[in-house]
Amino acid sequence: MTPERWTRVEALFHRALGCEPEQRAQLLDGAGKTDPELRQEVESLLACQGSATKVLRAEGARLYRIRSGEGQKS
Amino acid sequence: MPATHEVTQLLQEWANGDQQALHRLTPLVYAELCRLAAVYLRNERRDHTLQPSALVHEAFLRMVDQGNPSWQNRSHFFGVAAHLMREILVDHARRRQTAKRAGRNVSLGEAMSLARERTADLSALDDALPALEKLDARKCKAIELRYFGGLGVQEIAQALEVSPVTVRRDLKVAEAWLHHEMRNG
Repeated sequence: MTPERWTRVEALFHRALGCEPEQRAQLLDGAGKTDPELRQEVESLLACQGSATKVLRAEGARLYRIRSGEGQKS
Repeated sequence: MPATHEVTQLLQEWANGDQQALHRLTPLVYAELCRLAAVYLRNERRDHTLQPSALVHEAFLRMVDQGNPSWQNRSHFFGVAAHLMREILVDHARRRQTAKRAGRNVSLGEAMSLARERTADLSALDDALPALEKLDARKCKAIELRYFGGLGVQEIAQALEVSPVTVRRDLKVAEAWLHHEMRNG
């Protein structure tokens, strides 16, 4: 992904996050008319957003423990 | 906190080979490095044998050992320092584990529990992190400080020299991106 593309994805992601569901659908519909791929990318990020923190917290801690040798029971 | 420009200036002079700059730089950054070290150590076990000052000293030695560092600015310096401190803690923990295991065999049960630790999610995260770093280095750094360093939003904001609002936004989109990569990568 080019930096310009990433900036656009990010901007739309944050705008959509700040919207009520109905507004969000309108916003994404609007974006999708000119750039269907952008809409798809942002929708897939939004779909992952809710559960992302939980997964990262668990896996991040586990990765840290393994990298640091703490994964082994002492 | 010392002026950002002064620190950046001294870092660049140091990078250009001026050893005097390093001497002037040290007192300017020392307090902040100690604070960062204390945060890292708080997240470690209570009986950790490392003191914050020792962690700072070791990180400093490693930075000096790197030879001719090309510091871009103050936040680059603190990012590298944070990364090194984490590495030092990891090395420290490894040595402690090795010492504990010395002289006994790892049981089958222990080996199995180790194997289970390496879940598909975990491997996916390990793969996705370098991809994020390539896409957006600052966000990757924020994720590292958050999930591996255990820093709070305010502390990350200070380390990366951006506002807390930016950190929250960075984390949100980077978390979603990583999770997406882990699912589909």
